[in-house]
Amino acid sequence: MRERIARAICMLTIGVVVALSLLFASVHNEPPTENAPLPPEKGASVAGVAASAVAAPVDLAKGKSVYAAQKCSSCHSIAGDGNPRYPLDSVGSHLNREDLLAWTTGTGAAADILPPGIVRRKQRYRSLPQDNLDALVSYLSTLKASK
Amino acid sequence: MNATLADRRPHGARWIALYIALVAFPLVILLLGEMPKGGGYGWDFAMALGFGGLAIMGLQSILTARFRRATAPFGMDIIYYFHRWIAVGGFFLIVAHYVILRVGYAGAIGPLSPLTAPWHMTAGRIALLLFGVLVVSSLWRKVFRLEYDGWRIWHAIMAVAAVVLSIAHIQGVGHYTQAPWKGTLWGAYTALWVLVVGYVRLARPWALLRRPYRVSDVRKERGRTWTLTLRPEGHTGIGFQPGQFAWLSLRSSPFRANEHPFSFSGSAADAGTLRFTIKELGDFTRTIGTVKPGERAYVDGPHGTFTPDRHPDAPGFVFIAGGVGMAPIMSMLRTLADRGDPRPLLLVFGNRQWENVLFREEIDDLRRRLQLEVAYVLEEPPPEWPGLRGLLTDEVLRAAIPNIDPGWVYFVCGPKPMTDSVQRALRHRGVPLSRIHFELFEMA
Ligand SMILES: Cc1cc2nc3c(=O)[nH]c(=O)nc-3n(C[C@H](O)[C@H](O)[C@H](O)COP(=O)(O)OP(=O)(O)OC[C@H]3O[C@@H](n4cnc5c(N)ncnc54)[C@H](O)[C@@H]3O)c2cc1C
Ligand code: HEC
Repeated sequence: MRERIARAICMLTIGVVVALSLLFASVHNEPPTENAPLPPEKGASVAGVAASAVAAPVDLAKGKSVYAAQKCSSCHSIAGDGNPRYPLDSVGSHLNREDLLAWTTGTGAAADILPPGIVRRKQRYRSLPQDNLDALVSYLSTLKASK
Repeated sequence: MNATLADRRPHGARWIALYIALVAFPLVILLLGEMPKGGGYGWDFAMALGFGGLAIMGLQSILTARFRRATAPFGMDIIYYFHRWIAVGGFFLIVAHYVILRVGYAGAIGPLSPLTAPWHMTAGRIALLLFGVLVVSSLWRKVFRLEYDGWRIWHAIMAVAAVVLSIAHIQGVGHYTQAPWKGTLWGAYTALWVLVVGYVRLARPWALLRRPYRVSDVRKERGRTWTLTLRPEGHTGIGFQPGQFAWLSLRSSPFRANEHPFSFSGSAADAGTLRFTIKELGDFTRTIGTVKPGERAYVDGPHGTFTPDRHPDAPGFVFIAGGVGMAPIMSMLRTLADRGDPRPLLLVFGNRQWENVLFREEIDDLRRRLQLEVAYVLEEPPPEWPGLRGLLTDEVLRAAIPNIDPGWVYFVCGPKPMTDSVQRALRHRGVPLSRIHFELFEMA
């Protein structure tokens, strides 16, 4: 009898946590309003990448591998792969090469805007070999919003 | 350790609400104010589950911190029962947190190998593993033949490590604790946990150390059982209600948390003196016979709600004991006798053999001082035994308790199979559960 009540309170507690979590997730991901950009569909920007590829293919592959080796995906996603909180799907459309480098390495304006912990982590990328950084930026600049 | 939830509901409900509020607190912080950009439904759901699961795990130490006022409405045994099952629930939330991310966002959580993974991800993974070990080693402690005292120490160490690693994991990831005021609230929440752990491991042992007891007598009882008498040293001791229990440390500092729970068996009217009646069952209890008068002891109590003092209006009491389960009931009988209580009482006392019936002589004596009837039930009765025989089944109890008086209150203490069968038998005969009280000599 008392056990049954204790079990019920267990269930209630877990239920409250799950309900609040669902609430949190839905408040957080309200359907986008009229003029906000639509979140990229999985795979959609892959097509965009292919269409707008301007850099030499070799560079692109190298850039991708630097992106993978540096585990940018622990904070960023491309085409739905990686941390969905900070998608990079269309950075190529709104940042030039200089800004891409600044944001990647946590320098310039990015250093003021980003939280200090993240700046510290990003500034470590400054020590990457120059040609790796170039390739990475080239790769990022191919990421354009698909029409 | 009993009191039904029902008879103290208004009081208990408030503690339950407080508990749920404490579990929900981190999630409410998450929901308030400016939030980081949404990361998708599954992502955010998984994050919130992680916070909720950790809140449950962190609060586990508060549940078993033995706060007297908070545990009284429920009984300590049910608190331990709850501690055990809510841990399973909390663990599932944390597993869900991990599985959703592992399956849905493998790229984001990065490599498994601690050599290449960021430290805070490794911290999270180790915490998950530790929580798993904690749950498994506790639910199946007996199956793995883990010795109680060792298990208990490791349980505390692993629990603290797992919570600390989880907090490090959250700080390292840092998405939700960035806003300064959120960081402050989260810090306060963590501080609450540190305070409780500090209180349980340091402040309380310290307080116990300053109120020592000395063993004044060690007495052999029937059936591999001993009675220890303790007297306070340099203080006035504690008062208790008959039927309550305390955690006793012998030959060990309170800081070592080597204590065992035992019921008071002496009279509550006998101020200052504490008696415990202890059966030799395992490593610790087998050493009781070697304890010498003059040895130090520490007593954390009183705890529990298994006491007639909570039922001043009951017209009478029925006591049902098995073996050393007589200890708390002996305290009740002695106390009622010392107070000159005139109410009718019935004792049903189950034992294996007549020779081992604890306190047999004194019970005869109490019969003269109280309105007490006694029915002994023996599993292996001697030839020509005139009384009841067998276990405390429905049938035997019908013979031992011919009339069920409305309003009488029942106290049952003994091994689990016995208390289960007594509960069933009394329920059959229409005794409401709110009038049956149990003490189990085992913490869930
Ligand atoms: C509320 C309560 C009141 C009790 N009153 C009495 C009493 O009056 N007389 C009496 O003889 N016994 C009493 N016990 C039982 C007593 O606590 C155990 O028998 C004793 O702790 C066993 O220790 P051990 O090392 O000798 O045995 P072990 O063989 O080590 O343990 C046997 C079992 O006892 C339990 N146990 C062991 N150590 C502890 C501990 N430190 N805390 C909690 N549980 C433990 C475990 O379930 C373990 O599996 C009571 C128990 C509880 C919970
Ligand atoms: C510790 C987490 C973290 C890591 C690791 C990380 N970043 Fe970032 N990055 C951020 C955050 C946070 C922002 C700011 C995003 C925002 O506010 O939308 C950001 C912004 C950026 C931006 C600008 C995005 C925009 O839309 O303006 C680029 C480009 C970028 N990062 C590239 C990279 C690359 C390339 C790597 C790997 C070499 C990397 N980042 C690693 C956290 C991280």
